[in-house]
Amino acid sequence: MSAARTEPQRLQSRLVATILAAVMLGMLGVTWATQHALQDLLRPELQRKAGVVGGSVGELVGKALDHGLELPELAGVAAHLDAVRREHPELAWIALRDDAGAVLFSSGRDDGTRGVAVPVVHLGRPVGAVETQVSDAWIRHILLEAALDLGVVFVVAIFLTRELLHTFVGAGAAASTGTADGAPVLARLRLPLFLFMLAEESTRAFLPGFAKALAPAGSALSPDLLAALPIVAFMLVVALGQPVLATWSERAGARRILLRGALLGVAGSAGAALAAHVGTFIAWRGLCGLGYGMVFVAGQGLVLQHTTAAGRTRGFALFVGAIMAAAVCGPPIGGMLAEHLGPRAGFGLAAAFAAAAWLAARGLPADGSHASPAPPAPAPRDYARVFAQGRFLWVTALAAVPAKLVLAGSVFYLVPLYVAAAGASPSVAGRAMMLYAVALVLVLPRATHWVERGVPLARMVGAGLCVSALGGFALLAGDGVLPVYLVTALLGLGQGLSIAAQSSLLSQVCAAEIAAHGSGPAFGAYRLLERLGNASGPVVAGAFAMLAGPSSAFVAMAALVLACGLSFLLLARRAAP
Amino acid sequence: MKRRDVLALALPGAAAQAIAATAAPAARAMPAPWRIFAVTYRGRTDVERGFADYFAARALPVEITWRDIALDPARLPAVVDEIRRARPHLVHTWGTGVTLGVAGRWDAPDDGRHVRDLPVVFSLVASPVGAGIVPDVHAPGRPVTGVSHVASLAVQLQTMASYRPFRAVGMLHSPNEPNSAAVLKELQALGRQRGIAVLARPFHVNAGGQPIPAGAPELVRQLRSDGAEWLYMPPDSFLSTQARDIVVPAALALGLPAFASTEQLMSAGALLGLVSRYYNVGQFAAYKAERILAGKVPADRIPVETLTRFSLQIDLGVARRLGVLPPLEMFNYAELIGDAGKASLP
Repeated sequence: MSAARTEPQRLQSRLVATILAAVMLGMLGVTWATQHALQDLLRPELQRKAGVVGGSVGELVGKALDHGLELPELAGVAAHLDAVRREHPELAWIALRDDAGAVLFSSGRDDGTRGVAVPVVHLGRPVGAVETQVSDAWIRHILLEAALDLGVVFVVAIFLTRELLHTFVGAGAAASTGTADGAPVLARLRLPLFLFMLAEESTRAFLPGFAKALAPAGSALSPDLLAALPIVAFMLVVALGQPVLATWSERAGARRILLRGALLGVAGSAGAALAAHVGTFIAWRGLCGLGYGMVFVAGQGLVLQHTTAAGRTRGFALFVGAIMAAAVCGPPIGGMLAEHLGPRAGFGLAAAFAAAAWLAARGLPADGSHASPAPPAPAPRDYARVFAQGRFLWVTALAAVPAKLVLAGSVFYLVPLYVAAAGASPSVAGRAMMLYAVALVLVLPRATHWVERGVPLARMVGAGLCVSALGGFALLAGDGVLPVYLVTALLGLGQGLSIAAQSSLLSQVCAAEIAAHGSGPAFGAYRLLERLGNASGPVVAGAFAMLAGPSSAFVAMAALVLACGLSFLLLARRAAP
Repeated sequence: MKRRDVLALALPGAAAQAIAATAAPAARAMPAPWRIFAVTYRGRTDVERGFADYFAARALPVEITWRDIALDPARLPAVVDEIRRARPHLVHTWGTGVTLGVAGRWDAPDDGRHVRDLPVVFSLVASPVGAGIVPDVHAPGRPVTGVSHVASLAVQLQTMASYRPFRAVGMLHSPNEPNSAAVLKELQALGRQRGIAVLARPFHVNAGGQPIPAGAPELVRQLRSDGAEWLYMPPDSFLSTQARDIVVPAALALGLPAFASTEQLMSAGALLGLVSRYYNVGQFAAYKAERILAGKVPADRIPVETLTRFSLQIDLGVARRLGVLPPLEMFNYAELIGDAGKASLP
C-alpha cells in the first residue's frame, strides 16, 4: 500500500503526525503544570481539613467531659479514632493527649512529624489536645491518581484527535483523489460509527455497579447476579438479533437502519439514565442492544455496499478501527463523569453520544438500489452441519467462546464490581478497561503481521488465550486495584494475539465446508457462538462472585479459561491441519 | 374522602401528622363531642396525657371516659360490657393485655365478650401481629389500629452491642403474655443468626397462672450465673410493674447491665434504652383517632405504625455504678440521664 502512496496521502500523514505531536506536547505541559500546582496546594489544604476533623473530635470529647467524665476514663476512644481515620484516609495518625502532653489514645502510626493540634476545652480552660498528622502516602496516592487521570486524558485526547483527523482529512483526501471505491462514504461512516460505539463503551465502567445499586432489598437473586443481567440482556439481543437484522438491513436500506439504531440507542440510554427499578433498567439495556445490533449490521452493510472486493479489507479495518478507538476512549470518559456526576449522568452522556452519532449519520448518502446483497443468513440445517464438525467445535468451544466469556465476564462485569467493592471510583474501572483496549490496539497489528509471516495459527490462538487468562491469577497475590490493571492488560495482550489468528484458523479447519457451502454458514455459526459467549460471561462470573466473592471470581474465570486454552493446545496436534 | 385525608393517607407517620396539623379540623363545627372510652392498665401515664393533650390543642370536641383495671385483667370483662352498652365513638386501649381483653384476637370468632364493631385505637402494643391483634400492620382487616412503640429487635441488639459487645443475653418475661412470647421467639431467631446465646427465664406464677414477683431476684441471679452479659427487658406489662423495685436493683447488685425496650423500663433504672416517648405515642394514637372520628376514614384502612424516631437513652449514674461508661461516640447522639458527676463523688 505504501508503495502506491499519492502526494495528497503523504501530505495527510504528515498533517496527522504534526497535529498529534502538538496535542501530545500540549498535554505533557498541562500534566506537568497540574502536578506542580497540586503538590503546592495539597498539603496545606489537607492540614486545614485535618484541623477541622481534630476539632470535631475535640468537641465530642468536651461533651463527655461536660457530663462529668475524666479524660483518662473515656471509653471507646480508640474505636472512635479508628472510625474517624476510616472516614478520612488522608489522616496517618490521630491522638488524644492530656494537658501534660502524654498520648492517652491514638489511632494509626505516629511518624514523629509535627501534626495539627486542636485544644480540648472544658469549663473554659484547655485540658488536652487532639493531634492529627496528614499521611504522606495519601498525598502520594492523590498525586498518582491525578497523574493517572491526566495520562488517561492524554491517551483519550490522542485517540480522539486521530479519529477526528481521520474523519475530516480522510473525507477531504478521498474526495480530492476521486477514488472510485466509495472511500468518501466510508470516511463519512467512520464518525457516526465511532460516536455510537463511544456511547456504548462510555457506560461500561459503572453499568454493573449501577444495576447492583438498583437491586431491591430482599430480592430472590443475589445483587451480584442481578448486576450481570443488564449486560446479558444487551449481549443476548445482539447475538440473537444479528441474523434477522442483517436481512432486514439489506431490505430496508442500511442508512435507514443505522439512523433508527442510533435513535434506539438514544432512547435506551436515556431510559437507563432514568430507570428506577432493575427490571426496567434491564429492559432499556435490551433496547440499547437492539440499537447496537442495528448500527453494527448497517455499518457492515454500508462497508459491503461501498467497497469492491479489493477494498473490503481496508473498509473493515476502518470499521474495526472506529470500534477500537471507542473502546479506548469510552470507558475512561464515562468513568470519570460517573465519578463526579453519578452514573445517571453517565447514561445521559451515552444518550448524547448516540444522538451525535444520529446527527453525523444523517450526512450519509441515501440508500441506493445498487446494494450488493449480503450473504443469506445460515439456515438451521447449515448450523446443524457446521456444529457436527469436530474441528469447528475445537476452535469455537475451546477458543472463541472462552475468549468472549472472559472478556464480558471479567472485564465488563467483574472489573467495575470489584473496583467499586474495593472502594475505588468508576474512573479506576474505566482506566483499567482502557488498558485492555490499548493493549489490544498495540498488539493487533503486530499479531496480524505474524499471521502473515506464517506463525502457526493454532499456537497463536491457544497461547493468546492462555496469556489472556493469566492476569486473573494476580488476584491471588493481593487485593486493591493494581491486580485489576494486570487482568485487563494481559487480557488485551492475549486477545490481540488470538483474535488476529482466529478467523484465519477457522477458514483453515473448515476449508472443506467453505469450499462446499461458502463461508456464510461456518462464520455465521462462529459469530453466533462467540456472541452467546459474550452473553454468558457475566452469568458465569456472577455465579462465581455470588459463591466466592468478586476477587475469587477473577481467579475462577482465569482457571476456566486457562483450562480451555491448554486443552485447545493439547488437541491442536490432532486437530490442526 | 376529603382532600386532606388523601394527603394524610399518602404520607407516613410524622409527615402526615404535620400536614394534618396545619389543616383546619373539619370537626370544629360539630356541636356534640365525640365520646371516647380510654382503658388503662395501671392508671394514666404520659400516653394518656399525650392522647388528651392532642385533642385539647386542636380544639377537637371529645369527651373521654377513663377506665382503669389496676393491673388486674379480671376486671376487663366488666369494662367491655360497659363499653358495649355505652357504644362510644371510639375506644383507646393501653398495652397488649388490655387491647386483647377489649378487642380480642382478630382470628377468634365473635363470642360476644369483646368489642368487635367499634373502632379501637391502641397504644404501646409492641408486636400487634405477634399478639394476634391484627393480621397485618398495613391492613388491619378490622376496625382496630394503633401505635407500636418498640424499635425492631435487630436494632435493639445492635444498640446493646455498640455500647458493650456480648455473647449472651438474658431475658425475664411473663409466661402469660403473648407479646413476650413473640419477642422471645424473635430474639432466639436473631441469636441463632448472630451466634448470641439467648437465656430466658419466666416469672414464677400463682395458682391462677398469673406471674408473681416472688423469686424474681433469684431468676436474675441465675441468668447472670448462666453467663448473661446484658439483661434484656422486653415490653412486658408485668415486668414493667416489677422493674423499678425488684428486677433492676437485683441486676444492678450483680453488676448486670439492663437494657430497656420502653421508656417506662428505662425510668426503672436501666443502663441503656432505645425507647419511644410515651407522650409522643399517645399523640400519634390521638392523631389516628382523629382521622377515624373527624376524617371519617374507616379504622380498618389505617395502618398500625411505630414512631419514626427513637431516643437512645443512657443513665450515666448507672453507668458509673456498673463501671461501664458509654463509648465516646454515643455522646454524639445519646440522651444522657442521671448525673455522673454526682455519682462519682464518694
